[in-house]
Amino acid sequence: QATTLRVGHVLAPTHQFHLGFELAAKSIAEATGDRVKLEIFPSSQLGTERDMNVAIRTGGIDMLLASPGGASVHLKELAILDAPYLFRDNAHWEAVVYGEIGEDWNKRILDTAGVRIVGWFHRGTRHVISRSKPYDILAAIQGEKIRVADLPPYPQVFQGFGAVPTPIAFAEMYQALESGIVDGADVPLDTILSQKLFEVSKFVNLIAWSFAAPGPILISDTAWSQLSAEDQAALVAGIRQGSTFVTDAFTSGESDVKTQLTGLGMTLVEPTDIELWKDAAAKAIPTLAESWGGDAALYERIRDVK
Amino acid sequence: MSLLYIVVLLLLLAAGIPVAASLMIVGIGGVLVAGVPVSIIGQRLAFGIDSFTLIAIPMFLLMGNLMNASGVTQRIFDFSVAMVGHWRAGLAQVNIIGSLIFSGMSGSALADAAGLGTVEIRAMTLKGYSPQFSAAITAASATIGPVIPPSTIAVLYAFIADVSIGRMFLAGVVPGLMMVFTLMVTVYWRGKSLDLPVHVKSTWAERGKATWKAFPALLVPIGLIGGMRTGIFTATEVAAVGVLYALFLAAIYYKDTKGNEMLAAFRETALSTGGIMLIVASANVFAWILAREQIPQDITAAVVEMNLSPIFLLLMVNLILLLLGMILDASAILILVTPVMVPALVAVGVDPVHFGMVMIVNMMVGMITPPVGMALYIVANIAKTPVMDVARECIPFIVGFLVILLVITLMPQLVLWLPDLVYGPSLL
Amino acid sequence: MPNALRVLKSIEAGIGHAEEWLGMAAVAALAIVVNLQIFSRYLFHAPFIWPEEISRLLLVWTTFIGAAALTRRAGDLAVDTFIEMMPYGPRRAFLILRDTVMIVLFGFVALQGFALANAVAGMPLVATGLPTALLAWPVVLGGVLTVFHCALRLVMHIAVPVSVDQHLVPKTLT
Ligand code: NA
Ligand code: NA
Repeated sequence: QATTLRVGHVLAPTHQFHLGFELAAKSIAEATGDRVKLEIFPSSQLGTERDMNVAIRTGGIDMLLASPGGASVHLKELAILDAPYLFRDNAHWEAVVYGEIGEDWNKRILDTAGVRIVGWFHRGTRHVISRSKPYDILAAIQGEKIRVADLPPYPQVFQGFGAVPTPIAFAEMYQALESGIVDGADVPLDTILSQKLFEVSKFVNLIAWSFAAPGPILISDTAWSQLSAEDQAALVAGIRQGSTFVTDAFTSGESDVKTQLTGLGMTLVEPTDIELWKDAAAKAIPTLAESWGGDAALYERIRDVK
Repeated sequence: MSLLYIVVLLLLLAAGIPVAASLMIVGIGGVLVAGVPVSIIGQRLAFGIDSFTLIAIPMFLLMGNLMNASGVTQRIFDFSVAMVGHWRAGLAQVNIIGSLIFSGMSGSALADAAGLGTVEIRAMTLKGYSPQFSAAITAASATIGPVIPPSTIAVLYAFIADVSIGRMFLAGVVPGLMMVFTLMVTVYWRGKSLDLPVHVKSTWAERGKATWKAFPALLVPIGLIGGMRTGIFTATEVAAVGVLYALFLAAIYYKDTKGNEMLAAFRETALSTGGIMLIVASANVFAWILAREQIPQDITAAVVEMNLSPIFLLLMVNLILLLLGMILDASAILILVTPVMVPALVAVGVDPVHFGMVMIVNMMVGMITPPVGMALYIVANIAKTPVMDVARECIPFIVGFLVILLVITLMPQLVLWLPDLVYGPSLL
Repeated sequence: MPNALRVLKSIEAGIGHAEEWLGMAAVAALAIVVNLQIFSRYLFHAPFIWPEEISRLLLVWTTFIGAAALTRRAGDLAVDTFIEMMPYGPRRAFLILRDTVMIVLFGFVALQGFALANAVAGMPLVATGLPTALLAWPVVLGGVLTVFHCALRLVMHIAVPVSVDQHLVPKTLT
């Protein structure tokens, strides 16, 4: 008989995450002869990410796309995926999450929380925008007030850069930039467009401090156990197809967004001393390690994966 | 099916089930009908109000209550007497000016009616004004509080409709001043026909002294708006700093606050926060069902389909709100109507900040109309006079407010002019 | 009023006072914590990251404890117009029915809060690492206390019929 899995995520039906899930749903339905169907709920229809992280434990939903920080309520180590300058490129993060380290996480998250990881989505690259001056060198950001989300690793990373991290609600960000409560903000590129931040800031400083920050796709063990081994394999393979789509969309999409932002009057700034930025961010690692359970050496282990 | 939720809700409310409980009952029913695990209910109740923005509500409530306890109320009253007490129906004019000043540091009409109102009604009845007229002008002027910034109800609207709190606050300035002007003209005209007494004219020395004493209160609105506009504070923070300032006035500047008054300010805040935020929490359960059933989208589609002009639609919504305002509390209406109507209004080109302010002014009319005009009950209780007598005296003020409501509905620029000037044109 | 009821009423009054003090303490703590956040930003140029999460916790506690205390003072927002128009007998029956509905509803709410506390067991809050269950417990406590206040009111309506006539001025919050 057919099993329908309810999948939730917090973004709009036009976002690449949703398209990625749709692609996965199609391929899973085909591979299993409609025995396994994904019913996708976008735009927080099944609740916020926190709601869904609770609901997956109580049977309220079957699957969700989490962020590393959100998923860390199940297994603390996952928070490390948000750490600064962790991944070199797509091949690197895929080698980590689909390799030995990822398998270890998958085993332990099942023990601690009764959920499994069935795949991972690329979550874009984070830069920093600024109102009135370019951050072309590390010294330029020092003493500047930067809007960050009020949870690890954001304040710590920007403190590492020597900036003054200023936690402001997402909804107040436009106004905070406009009125000068902050000099800049840490945002993914597509947010600059969706929140019209190009109206209140001039420079996109391409420091790429966070790359990919892969988000786990969680499934409750109850839902997983209903599937035959063959269908489980089809599910993982289908999600992997969606994941490849999302990665490609972010990779090609980034240059599109950059072109658009330039057209809207923003200036793209390539820092000339990116190694200094990396060193500065590394200062935050010992403090940040607490947020992923205290294992500071894990950061180096992940960086060393070939 | 989806309309059924709204009908059942209205029936429960009419039957006297508390607003929060009615919202929860419909929400729970919806969850059961939708076949979603009931565990979503606990999550929505607890997580739905886990918001930093909403902290501005208890903070502004506390600030207003502490200002009342700090002795600033009496100084505002003395200042207003010194300035306009000698006008025709002087103490009634004082009542209005007092509320205008108090509105700049309090976000609720309750704090005005119960705090300043006590001083004003006592003074007016001693001077020979009828208790029902004294109570009526107190109730009418108290409604300026949530229109002029700061305003707890504006914070709530900004939170639900996802608009800037700063814009919402500034949008209230012009309508608030229009309300003040209308009340003053009405009182002047009533004063003529009723031959209401005047106060002796104060000397300039007396005025100087009264101004000096009230000066810290006069600073508050400038500090609030300035602090938000220059970006030193967010709305929540500015409210918390206002609390510190009120404590400073009470403990160091005026020094005539009694400990039990101070405690009462905290108690009132805790109780009011419980009442208002439990409705917000319950509304989260209800709104979740609305969203799942796509009710706002259906209404938007229907509205767009009907091809109504924005003005006509706004007038219709105003009528419905006035009817609801007669039987329901303002914050409850706002919580119910905002998520359902804002998407549709925005779709036909109404600015959400404009609509928010129209709705708030509309709610204020409801506060002084029976049977559930909350401000009426409070002032009638203070003046020890029947509610319906006060309501009758309110009629000229209600007529004036309805005219203002019509004017600001038809002329969005009156509302949007100041926020646009200060924050730049809206994003939409 | 029978003696047993009188004892029950005084117990309820004691609990009501405790609720109010707890709510007042939470409001005071809220004001302190938000100001601390501002000072940390402007004085130390390095914001603390815990105050926001703590202040949100305090808001949830204030809400559910304050709401229970408000129920006790019969100040919960309701439309009493139609009830007041009813003759004595139906009104009494109606108030008994209304309190029964409230008891069932808030009992359910308390259970849901308890289920949530269990579901989030072991889940930390992101910034402070405090248990997420701290957000669920106020729902349980507020629900239980509300049931208790409504139950006492129900007993009063049944045992002391005259209590139906006590009119309480509704409180407004706007
Ligand atoms: Na007044
Ligand atoms: Na105000």
